Amino acid sequence: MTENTARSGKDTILVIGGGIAGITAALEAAEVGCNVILVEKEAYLGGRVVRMNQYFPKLCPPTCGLEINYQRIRKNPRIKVLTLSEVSKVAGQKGNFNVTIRIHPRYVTGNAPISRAQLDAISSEIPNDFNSGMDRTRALYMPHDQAFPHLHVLARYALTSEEISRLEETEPREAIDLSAGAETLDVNVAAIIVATGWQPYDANNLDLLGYSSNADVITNIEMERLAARTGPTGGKIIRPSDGREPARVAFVQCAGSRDANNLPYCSAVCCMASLKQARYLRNKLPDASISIFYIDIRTIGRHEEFYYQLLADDHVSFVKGKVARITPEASNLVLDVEDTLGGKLLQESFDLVVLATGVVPNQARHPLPGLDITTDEYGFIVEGVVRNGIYAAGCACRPTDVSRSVKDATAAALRAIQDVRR
Amino acid sequence: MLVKPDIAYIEDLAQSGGSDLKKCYQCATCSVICPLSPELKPYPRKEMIWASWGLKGRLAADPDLWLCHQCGDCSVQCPRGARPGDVMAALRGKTIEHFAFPAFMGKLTRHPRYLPILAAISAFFIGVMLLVQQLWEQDAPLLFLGSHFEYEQFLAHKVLILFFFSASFLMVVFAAISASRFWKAMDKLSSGWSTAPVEDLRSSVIGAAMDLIKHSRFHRCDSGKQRRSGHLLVFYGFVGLFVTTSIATVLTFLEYPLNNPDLYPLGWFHPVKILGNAGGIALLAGCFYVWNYRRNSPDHTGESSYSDWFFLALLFMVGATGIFTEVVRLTAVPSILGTPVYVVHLLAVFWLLIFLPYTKFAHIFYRFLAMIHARLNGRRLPDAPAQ
Repeated sequence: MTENTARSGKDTILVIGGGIAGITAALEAAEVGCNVILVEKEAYLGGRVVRMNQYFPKLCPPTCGLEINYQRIRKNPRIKVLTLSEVSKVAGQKGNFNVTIRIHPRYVTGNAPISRAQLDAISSEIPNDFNSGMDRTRALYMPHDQAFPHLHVLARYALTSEEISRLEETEPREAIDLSAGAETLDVNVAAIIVATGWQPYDANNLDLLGYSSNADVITNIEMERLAARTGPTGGKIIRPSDGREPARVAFVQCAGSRDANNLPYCSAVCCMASLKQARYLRNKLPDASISIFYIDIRTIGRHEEFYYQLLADDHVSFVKGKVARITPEASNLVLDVEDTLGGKLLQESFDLVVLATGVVPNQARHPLPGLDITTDEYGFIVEGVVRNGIYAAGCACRPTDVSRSVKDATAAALRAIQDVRR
Repeated sequence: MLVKPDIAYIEDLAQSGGSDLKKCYQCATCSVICPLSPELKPYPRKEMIWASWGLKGRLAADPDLWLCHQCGDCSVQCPRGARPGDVMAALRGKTIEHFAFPAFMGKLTRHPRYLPILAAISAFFIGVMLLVQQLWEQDAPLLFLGSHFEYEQFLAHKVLILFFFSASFLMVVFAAISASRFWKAMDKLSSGWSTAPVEDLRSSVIGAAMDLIKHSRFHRCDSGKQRRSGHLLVFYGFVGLFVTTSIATVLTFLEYPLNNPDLYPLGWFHPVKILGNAGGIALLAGCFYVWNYRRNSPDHTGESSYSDWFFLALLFMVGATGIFTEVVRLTAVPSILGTPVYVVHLLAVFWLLIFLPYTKFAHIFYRFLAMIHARLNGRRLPDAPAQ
């Protein structure tokens, strides 16, 4: 992965972002004969999707779909995957972009497998980003079971000087290069696909919902990890505060979305995400009662059926009203809300509260230098009528779900292929 | 029920402070955030949708408009920027207009375009009053002559009392008509929203009066804590002046000063004098405070409408010209200076009086009635201590 001889030139497409949209676009382009450079800032591909327990509406785990894609990447010599990499500069125009990519060191060379002794040499821990920081991992770690590329990562910054010297003396020495530094790679490409994806809205901004001060107020992202077999609890849904199984769980919709004081737009996927998570709970905790507090349930098209099935479930209640405040009381959480259909203020107590936080485009917070794109007021990319060789896909364009991201990516790939073939 | 929206009403509401009303998507953050909203049929979420639909009659009969003290918490927290607090204020204005008797008087204070009519009415009133004075007191001096200004010669107290007492009486009758219509409407459309035990009439009236005196409900508003101080100053300033004027009127009516020629001017430390002066100062200070607060709106809790400024300006004029009038007496200025000051003061008081049932001034009785109604119907706050 560190060789600096990426294929580049007139038949090459750069894909920025290795989530589901980026992977799809890269494969679509490479499988018709284009060369592709796929740049991912994390140590592994998969983005937000690989962190999910299951995706809607079929409720299948993301691993099988991703595994098929990884196979296609492995088999295709036209795709060059660069992890721990970021695009630092873009110049030029359609058909002839000069792009500078910065590759951060992994310190793990891949020339030999990491040994047990090397793993044992490190005891320092860092927050486990794969699990949304809900647990910690050793500083020399495999990001997750299915990580692609399947290589360890060394968080060198977290090591003590003893750990460094211990590591220097542990075999196989060629597996780790402690002196590795950041590298720069210049490539020439004909077209660029921006699939920089999204991150969850910071729930700490929602003062009245008490996320920052109550362990049992979690986000929907954290709920995915709690439900996942590869998550911090091995798939057991328990309260972060005391490890108890919750008997009453609340979902708070529009936690920051459709809110002039936070994200003014609808994040589009959170209704389906909560309905999906309610099903996790129904399966894993059959006796738990679940309440979903909403302004409007937005399940478009055939997703409506997914909603109707839950409406019929007597363990799931729907309350039309936005939760305005969450306060701790004894070991529980009290939600303040008006049931607007009944015209009554409710103060209901729950063991676990899930905030359906929204979608923030990464592009908004980390714009790519020199990239000629237009974004809307929230940072989502708006493609112009004139094709300028830069195309966008997935949540970089708008909040959207996995299947639509994939379709987006195919469409973006087609436009990029046309630039290459012209 | 088939809802027939009143489009003109909705548009007028938008003009008078509720311009963001249509942004509301009924999430009810406002009802939850409101520190004063009762458990059953909480406000202002329901008012927002009634207003969106233009349910004029439903809103006019709604006591909850008056249980709100405009702290603005709902507007601050509203995720849509629909400003429910401003809508509630605009709706209160619409209620006053709705029940105004005679109806045209309800419109006159709601838009600056009617100011000339208001001025004409007042000029007519003062003109007739002065004419009566001239006919009654044959030897009264001409207006602007005289080395120093003499109130009794300019306008005899008996004439003053005749006119102002009649005007007050008329306005109290008109206000009573509005109040009784409001009460009937509330009883018809807004009863039975109870969650707490109901109270009897006596306990309700006393409880509501205590709430008013202590501003205890106002005190529960979070964002509006500063405004409460300003309101207290204006409220008690006004009460002080009202009591002073009432005592003076009654004494004059009984011809007490005539039989006791040395009574006036009252000494500086006479209780009534102290009450009057303190009231005047409190009123002015309160007006400054509220004016400044509304202008800067430090917590962005609310916009001020024409009706707000009109009423505040009127209170300020009453206080300011009253103090000037006192200064005129103390300094014995020539009539040419004293006359206009006194005339303006009389005008301001006259305006305040005749607009009792029509301006924001009317909130004093609408609110009081709504608070009584709420107690009669067991509509106290869930955690408010029982009376």
